[in-house]
Amino acid sequence: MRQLPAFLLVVAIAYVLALALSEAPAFGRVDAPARNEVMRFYLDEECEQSGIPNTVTAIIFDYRGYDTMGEATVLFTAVGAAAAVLAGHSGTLVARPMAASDDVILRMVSRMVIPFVQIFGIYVIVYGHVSPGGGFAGGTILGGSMALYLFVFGPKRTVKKLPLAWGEIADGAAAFWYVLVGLGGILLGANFLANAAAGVPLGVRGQLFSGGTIWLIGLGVGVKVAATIINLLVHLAGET
Amino acid sequence: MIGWFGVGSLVFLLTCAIIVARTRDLLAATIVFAAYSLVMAMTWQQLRAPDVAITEAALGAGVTTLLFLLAIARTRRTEDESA
Amino acid sequence: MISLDLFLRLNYLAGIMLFLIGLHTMLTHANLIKKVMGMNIMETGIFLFMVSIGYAHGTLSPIMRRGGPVQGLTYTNPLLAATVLTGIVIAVSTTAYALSLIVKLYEQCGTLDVDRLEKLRS
Repeated sequence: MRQLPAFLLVVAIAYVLALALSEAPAFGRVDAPARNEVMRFYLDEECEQSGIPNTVTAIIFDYRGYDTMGEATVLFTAVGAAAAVLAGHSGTLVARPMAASDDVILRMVSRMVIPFVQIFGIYVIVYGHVSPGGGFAGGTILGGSMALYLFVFGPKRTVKKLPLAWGEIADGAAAFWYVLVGLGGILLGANFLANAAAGVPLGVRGQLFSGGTIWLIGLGVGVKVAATIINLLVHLAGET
Repeated sequence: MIGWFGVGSLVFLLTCAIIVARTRDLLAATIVFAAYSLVMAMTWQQLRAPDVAITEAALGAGVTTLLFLLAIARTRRTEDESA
Repeated sequence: MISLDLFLRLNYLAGIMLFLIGLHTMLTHANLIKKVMGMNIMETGIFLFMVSIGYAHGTLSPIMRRGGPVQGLTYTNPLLAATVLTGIVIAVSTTAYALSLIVKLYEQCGTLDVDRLEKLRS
């Protein structure tokens, strides 16, 4: 009964989008309208202003640092809301929590793999300004390794190894760390989250400790994303 | 041109999306969605966005799949509720 | 008038089709988890569209050499990659929140079907 109206709506939206698409510029042209002076500004000036090779990381953690702070707040809110919703068993029908796997191969292989995954995650976080990656990608890999542990060894052992309170403290501390780095800009006499404008030394481009506050912010965001992921999964696994 | 690899990836993506939409088994849909996310990460690498590709491979193929798996484990596996 | 040029923009077309498949899934399926899956497909469709806008043939990914941007070489648009990166993370937190609500709803009502939930309410 809801098939026909939904189909008609989808067809109508498809028609409008196809009309718009037939007017759109061709795919992949170097002189496409999206490749305007804003893009050229970032590509030309970024290396001088932020001092790091990875333009995407510079945009996320430096030019749009304020926006990324809001995003960190969104992650924080998601964990808080999930914890608030899932806490307690007030329902009539208690869903069973997740059980641990008893597969020997799975346990042994994940025990061997997890340290390497975590090292790779830390590498991606720390080198996010020199090579592809950054706080978000590396934090996800780090959180994914802990999620693998959760899935193989069960929520009980995960919580024993990484108590829920620690994850929440790491989550909050990383968000607070972001604000502290931002306040550092004000203390140095410039705007909130100012980097080179506040006189932070940028270091040698392409080296590990370069780019001023970008490195610090990336570290905080990496910890935050990893903590967010493992907190969400532990709450959803039903061990609270 | 995006090349035959790009066209093949796009066809694979659309096929996966249709399978996810059509199948009644939520667990199967989750697995197909993981494959979809992985090919999407490859497509983004082809489109010269490596940061997005890494994030999608970890978040889309990893964490989203795990979230769906946990939700299915705690609720029910099939979409039909005739029982 | 819709021209045949549409098929020369395969990436845009694929993004739009993924969006529509996701929208159709969200609208027609009664199961809540399937609706969330449809939402994820919609989001990836939009992300594919946005990343495709930033791409240009024969360009490099926006990671500079040590000495700064190489003159004469063009790069893909870093702004769209940064925006999409933000969007992916937000999409996952939205999914996580929606799924935790769904799990709680199942605990309370014992069903994931929207139609049954409507009946339960009345």
